[in-house]
Amino acid sequence: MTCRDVRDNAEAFVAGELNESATQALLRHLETCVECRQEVETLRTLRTSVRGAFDRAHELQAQPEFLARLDRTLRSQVRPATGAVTQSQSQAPVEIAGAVDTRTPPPVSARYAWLAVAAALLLAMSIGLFWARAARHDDEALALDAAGDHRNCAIAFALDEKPIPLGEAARRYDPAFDVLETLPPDQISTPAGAAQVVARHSCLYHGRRFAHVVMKYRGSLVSLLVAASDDERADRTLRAVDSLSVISWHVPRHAILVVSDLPAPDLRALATAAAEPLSSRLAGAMALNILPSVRIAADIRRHGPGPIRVGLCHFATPSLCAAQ
Amino acid sequence: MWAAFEAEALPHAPRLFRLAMWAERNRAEAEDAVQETLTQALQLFDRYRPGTNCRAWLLTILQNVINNRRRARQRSPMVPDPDDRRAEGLPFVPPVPQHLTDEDILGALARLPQSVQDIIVLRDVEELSYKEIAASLAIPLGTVMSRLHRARSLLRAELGREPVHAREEHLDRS
Repeated sequence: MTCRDVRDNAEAFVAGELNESATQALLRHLETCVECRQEVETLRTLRTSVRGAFDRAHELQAQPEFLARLDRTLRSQVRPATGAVTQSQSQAPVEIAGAVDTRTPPPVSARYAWLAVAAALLLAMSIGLFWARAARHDDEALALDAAGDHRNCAIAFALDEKPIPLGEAARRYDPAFDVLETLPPDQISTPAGAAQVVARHSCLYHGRRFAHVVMKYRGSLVSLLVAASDDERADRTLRAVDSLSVISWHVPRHAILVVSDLPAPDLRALATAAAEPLSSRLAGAMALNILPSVRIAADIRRHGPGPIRVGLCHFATPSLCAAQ
Repeated sequence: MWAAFEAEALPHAPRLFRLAMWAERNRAEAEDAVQETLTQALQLFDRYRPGTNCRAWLLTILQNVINNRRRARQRSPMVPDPDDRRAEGLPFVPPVPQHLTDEDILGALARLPQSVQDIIVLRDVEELSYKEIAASLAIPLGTVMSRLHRARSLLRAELGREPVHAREEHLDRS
C-alpha cells in the first residue's frame, strides 16, 4: 500500500469501515511511515474535536421545557385505551421514502353546517377533557421519571450521562436550578428525625433534566428532584411507583418531587419540612428569570474590553454579535 | 405501542434537537422539525424493527423533514450534489492548527456547503455507519465515501485557511 492509498483509505480506516485485508495492509504501512501515522492521528483528533465541540455547544442543547412539551404532544396522539396512534387530518402519515406529504384539508359542505356547530360543541367538551387528561399524563410521566432517576442515579449510579454541577446546569438549561445549590439546607429537621444532604447535582433521565438533591433520612436515600413543568397545581400528590413513594407538587414552571422507599408518612414529613422556603424561592426565581438574550449580553459585558469569542453568536443573537 | 416508543425513540429527542438546531440555526424551527420528526416516527413506529439502530432511523426521518423544510422555504434549493466527483482536484490541504477552540471548529464547519456539513455531522457527531449515512441522506454508499473524503479535506482546508487568532480579531472588529 502506498502513501497515496493510505490517504485515500484513512477516513474509512478511522471510521472502522475498511475491510480486513485493507486494514491489515494499512496497518503494515503505518508501522514504517511516520507521515501517514500523523495523518491518521490528525483525522482521529479532528473527529473527536468536532464531536466534543457539538457536545459542549450550549446553543445546540434542547431546553427542558421543549422536551416536556414534546412528550405531552406525542402522548396526546396516542389513544389511551388501545395505545393506537390517533391520525387526525392534520397529522396524517407521511411517506418517508418519497417524502410525500399526503395532508389534505377536510372538505366541509355548507348543507351540513349544523353538523359543524354540533361538532364544535363536542370539540369544546373534548378539549376540556383532553387538557385534564394531558395534565394527568404529564404528572404521571414526571413521577415515573423521578422514580427512575432515583433508582438509576441516587441508588445505582447507572445513568448513561454523567451528572453535572447544578451551577453548570443552571447556565446551560434552567436558571432556577441555582436555587438548589443552597436549598434545602444541608441538614433538615423533621418531627421524625433529621435528614442530611449527601449530594447536589443535575442529571438527565429519560430525556428529562432534573436538579437532584440526594439526602440520607431514617436509614434510606431520598431524592428531591426539580424539573420543568407547565402544570401549576400546588396541591401535593402521593403516588406509589413500584416499591417507591413519590410526593409531587408544582410551583410556576416547575415540579418538585420527593422520592424514596420510606413509608409515606415519613416521606410526607420530610416533604413538608423541605417545601418551604424551596417552593417560594423557586417561584421567585421564575418571576425574576432573566431573558436568555439579556443573559448572553451580560456574559459578553463581563468579558470586558479584551477579545471576545463570538463564534456561535450567529445562532441566537446576531444583533449582539453585530453590536460587538 | 406508546411504551415501546417512549422507551426506544423518545430518549433520542435531545440528540435530534442538536442536529436540527445545527441545520436550522433557529430554536423555534429546530423544535418544530423535531416535533414533526417524532410525530412521523410515532405514526410509523410499527415499521421500526426492534434491535436495529433507532437513532439512525429517527435521524433519517429528521433529515427528510429538514430537507422538505428547506425546499419549502427555497432557502437552500436542492441541486445535484457537486461533491460526487473524486477529490483529486482539491487544493493543497494545510496542516490543522495545533490549538483549536470549539468556536474555531464550529465556525469552520458552518462556513462549508450544507451537504458537507450534513455528512460530517452524521459521521463525527452522530457516529452513523456509512450504510446508515447512505440511508439517511438517500445517496449511494460509494457517494458517502467520496463525499466524506472531500468533506474532511474541505474542513481541514477551512481550519487551516488563516491563523485562528486573525479570525478572532476579525470577528472582534465586526
